[in-house]
Amino acid sequence: MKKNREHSRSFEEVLTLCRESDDFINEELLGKENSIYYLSYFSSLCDSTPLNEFVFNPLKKKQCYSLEDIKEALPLKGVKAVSSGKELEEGLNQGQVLIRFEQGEPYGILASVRLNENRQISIPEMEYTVIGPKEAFVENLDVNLNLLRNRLPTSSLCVKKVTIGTISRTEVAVVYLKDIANKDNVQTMIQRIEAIEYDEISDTSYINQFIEDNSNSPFPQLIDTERPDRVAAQLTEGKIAVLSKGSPSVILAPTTMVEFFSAFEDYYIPWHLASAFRLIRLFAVLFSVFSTPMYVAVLTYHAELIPQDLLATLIMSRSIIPFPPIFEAIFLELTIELLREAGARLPTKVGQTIGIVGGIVIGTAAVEAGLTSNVLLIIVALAALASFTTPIYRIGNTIRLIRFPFLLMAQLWGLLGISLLGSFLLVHIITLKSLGRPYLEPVYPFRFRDFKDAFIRVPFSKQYELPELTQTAKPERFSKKKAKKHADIDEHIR
Amino acid sequence: MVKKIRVLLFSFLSGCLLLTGCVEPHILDEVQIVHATGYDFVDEGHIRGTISIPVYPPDEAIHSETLTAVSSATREIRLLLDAQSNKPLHTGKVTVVLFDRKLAENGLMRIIDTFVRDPRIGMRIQLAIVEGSSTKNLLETTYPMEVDTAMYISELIEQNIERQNIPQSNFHVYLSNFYGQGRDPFLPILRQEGNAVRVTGLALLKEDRYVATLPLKDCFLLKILLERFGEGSYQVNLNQDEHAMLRNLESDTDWEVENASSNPEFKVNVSLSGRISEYSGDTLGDPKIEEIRAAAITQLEEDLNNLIKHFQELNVDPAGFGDQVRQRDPDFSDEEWDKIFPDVPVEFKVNLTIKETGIEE
Amino acid sequence: MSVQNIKSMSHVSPFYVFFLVHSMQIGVGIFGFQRYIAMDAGYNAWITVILTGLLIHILIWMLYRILLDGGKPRDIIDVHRQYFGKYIGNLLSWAFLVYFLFMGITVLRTYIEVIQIWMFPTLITWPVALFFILIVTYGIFNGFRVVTGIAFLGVVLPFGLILTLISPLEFANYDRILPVEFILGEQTAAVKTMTLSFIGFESLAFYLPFINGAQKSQKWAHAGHGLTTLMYLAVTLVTFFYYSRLHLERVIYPSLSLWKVLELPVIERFEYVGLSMWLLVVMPNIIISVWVVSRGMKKLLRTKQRHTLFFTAGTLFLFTIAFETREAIDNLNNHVSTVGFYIIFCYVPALFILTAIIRRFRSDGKKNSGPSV
Repeated sequence: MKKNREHSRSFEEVLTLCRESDDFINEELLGKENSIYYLSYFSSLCDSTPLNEFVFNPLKKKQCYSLEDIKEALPLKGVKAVSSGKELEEGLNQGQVLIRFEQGEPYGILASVRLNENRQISIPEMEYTVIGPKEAFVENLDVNLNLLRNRLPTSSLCVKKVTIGTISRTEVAVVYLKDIANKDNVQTMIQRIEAIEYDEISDTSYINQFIEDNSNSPFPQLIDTERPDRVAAQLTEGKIAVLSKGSPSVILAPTTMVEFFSAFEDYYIPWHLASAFRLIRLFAVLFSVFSTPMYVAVLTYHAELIPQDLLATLIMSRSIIPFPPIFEAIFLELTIELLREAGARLPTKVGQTIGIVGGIVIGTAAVEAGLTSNVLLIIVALAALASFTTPIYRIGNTIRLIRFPFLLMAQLWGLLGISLLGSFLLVHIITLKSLGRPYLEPVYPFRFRDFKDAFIRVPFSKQYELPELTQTAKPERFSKKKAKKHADIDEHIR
Repeated sequence: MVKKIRVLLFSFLSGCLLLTGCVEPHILDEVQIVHATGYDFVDEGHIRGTISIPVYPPDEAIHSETLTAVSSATREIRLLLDAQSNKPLHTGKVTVVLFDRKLAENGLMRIIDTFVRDPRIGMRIQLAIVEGSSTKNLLETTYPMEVDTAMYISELIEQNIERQNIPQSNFHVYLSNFYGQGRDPFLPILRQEGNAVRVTGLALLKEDRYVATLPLKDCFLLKILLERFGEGSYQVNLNQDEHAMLRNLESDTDWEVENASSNPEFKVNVSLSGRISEYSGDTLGDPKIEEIRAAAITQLEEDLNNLIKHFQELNVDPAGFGDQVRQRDPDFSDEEWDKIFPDVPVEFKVNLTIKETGIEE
Repeated sequence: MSVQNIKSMSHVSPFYVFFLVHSMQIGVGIFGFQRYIAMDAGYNAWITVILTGLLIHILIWMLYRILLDGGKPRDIIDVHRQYFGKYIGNLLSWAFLVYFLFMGITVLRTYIEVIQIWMFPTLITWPVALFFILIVTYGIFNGFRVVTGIAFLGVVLPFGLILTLISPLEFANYDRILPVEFILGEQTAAVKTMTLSFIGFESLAFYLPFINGAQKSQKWAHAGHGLTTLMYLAVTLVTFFYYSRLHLERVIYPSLSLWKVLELPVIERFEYVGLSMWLLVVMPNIIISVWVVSRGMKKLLRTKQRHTLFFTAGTLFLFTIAFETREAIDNLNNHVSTVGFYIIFCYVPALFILTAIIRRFRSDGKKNSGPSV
């Protein structure tokens, strides 16, 4: 109902509404031979240079008798006649200028002199890589699409635009490669985006939360990235990208859990190194989640587990600490979280200082004051460090968060508690889906083909098949060469 | 409304979980971790238990403290020991359990039984018998080699098993020999000598009672019969003042049993390969090596024969001769074996390979 | 109510039958089965493991013949209805469901009991049981695909634990299994005991319609059972090498005691870690049996599975906390095992023969009546 009323505003109503704003300008312009044009526009949305050059000057120089004349007179593209209130409202709000002969006429000409204030394309900050391209998406949708088209100069790159948000009227672009992406996936994605009911969409993160298969899960089910190279590469694997106006991050779907731990740099370095780093990263994640809960469980319940030689070290580090391990651990974990929050909210340089000063000073002081043991300090610091190795920022948050329930369970039932919660999470992860595709793939459902680029990355020459996850329209990247002839030692194939 | 009830129910349940779910914690620094226990014979019906606990004072070096209690049952000893401790005693990290020789003569199983039942006790802990002094004295003494007495003793025994003449031994080995058909258990013997503890040999047990001591020298012979890759040293005497030290690297014992089900006769072929680690003469040429080899074989065969005679006189069977019979006779019984073992004929044949003689001739 | 109604979304590929069968067979029984078979057949009991394994291959084959009769895979409820009519057939199906419910109860309660003996003597049963059942319910709520997933991960993730069998070999005496003899009387008794460790595969009779191409899944079922046999054989042999016979008779959970000797650089006593990880092995057992019961009840009562699921979970919880003493749990184990034995060794062959006869009879009838029509 509401929506309809808004759209049925009349031409005059729109103008009256706009006049209430002080940055809405109504000007009279004297043209040749005393002809008068009435111009209406938002000064904050229009660029003054093209306004002068391409609207004011041509109108002054030429005499126009009809709207058609004006259309011809203006050396601008997309000049159009307007008579409906809806079109007018959209036009004015997108930096177009209304030109009429008479004030009060319910029709006119709209010419776009939009002011484009843009951030320059800069280096990716969240997904920085040492090797590889150094460009990141910006807040402008056209620029972002331009970056993608530059990387994938093919006509099968399809862009479908959807407008969502009752107030923000945010333009959302669903991008995919027509001959690769699965039609059902595209269909589902567009349907889900169209179904979004909200007034203002600030970022793709909003969209992300709306279209996720299970929005109550702590695990992100869609990847968001700021790297055009990642998006381009994933599009060729049959994934679907979602860009939105005003957002420098792009959603990729469907995705798997393992993918959150693959940095895009993995594709820029030799495959064995990349695989090793990927495994280290996965190990780091496991360490990050389980180390502190294990410490609590073992020290609280399972002293038998500790090797004899380590026993003295642990007891001595804890001997003057008045709290049980759980308090000690929560205290330190919260401190680290505080430092991270503070670091994230402050300007870069101050943030760095806070990190270092906080880490060293608070940590050392806490140990010296006998509030925490130095063994735990090492573990917590390492765990925090490990949680930052995740290439996708979002999953790092999840990892830091799920440590706390694990801590509680470790306190409750020791190792049994950890494995109880672990199996709960396992069940949860199995139930998760990303755009209707299994989240835990290729582990479950077990798909051998997709293991080629999961925990390890095999060489490009072996990755001739496209992933099974996306159920692509065509099965292969390139056709596998027919049995390569292997030259014997000291022989050359000619 | 349904949702509200669900949320309420959920929070109620999780609240209950947190309140009642907790199990009794044993926080590492809030328990006294017992590292070693010793049991002494006091009189018929009374045992003295001693435990060694490492103490970690904030600004001082670690040292071991002992607590002692006398009672008739091991459970009660535990109770009396708990009564002396500021923190609950934790037995999960016991590494050594010592027994007084007198106690061993009266049988160990009634004490060991408590350890068998306790799931906290590991299977790699060392059991040993103490002679010459009480286990209390042994545990009370501070040893300069290691701050923690229990660590010192357990590492000492383990070192002697891995590198020296003592055959593999720990809680599990003891139990499997004790329960094993046609086998008798053995345990290392310790003796306190001033500021050190020495492994003096093996205690041979019949069932769970101490019978005799096997000197360290002869433990080598038992070890080559029991293990394949056991290390150990054996002195070969050539003349009055000429001898060589043989270090075993690998041994393989081949048992031949004839008439297993009626009158067993043993032919035991022992193949050894080792190196000469020490020689008191001048040069060690090929003829000399051959001479040493021949002497070693004779001496080994003689010693092995003496050893088995000794075992037969005592009627203990730590080498598992009975076990060899059991493998060939489905109707084997321990009682039967006990009767015939003293008179079983055993013939040893030794085969020795000398692999190397060190880096100098 | 028929097969076609099951949406293809919840179907799984035949490959997963391997895990469904295997995970359901291995549970808490593996902690102590060696002791019982050794009591029956001495240290020749490792032959029993192979023997029983082979016998059960035949039973799996029979089960497939019963269920795949007529081309389309059916579940045991349909089979019962077809051959015994509505009332008797449903009654038999109900008996099956009760059996599976008690199987779930046994596994859960025994696992918690082992935890109480080995890790936490002061652990209260109900909170753990509740948490456990919540996980199970949550999993089943999301369909058979998740149930299969748990079975799959419950096999794959703890598979590394098989390596822990290497460590006890340090104290192995390989001659302990000598002399090898085959005494029929001993073996028959031991086969009966050993069967109890293999029960659980008969849940096939309920989930077979959920398999894509059920015919192709038979080889996977055999393979899954084959792996189980291998695992049991490995555990049996290692146990026999490690314990002397009289010692084994005194150890209640020999497999757990095996872990006591495993020493890793960072973990000195493995049984606490192993026992906690065993949760992943126990989970499929319970999740599959609860699924079977809730699915069966849905079919028999013609209601929604979410209702029967909550009912089953509630019953499971109440029964689990009702068994408190060691003796009660032991009795529970014995009764469920005995019933399981009769179901797979008497009922399945009987049903097989019956269906075979009826089928023959009917096809003959068709042949005879053919020309007259």
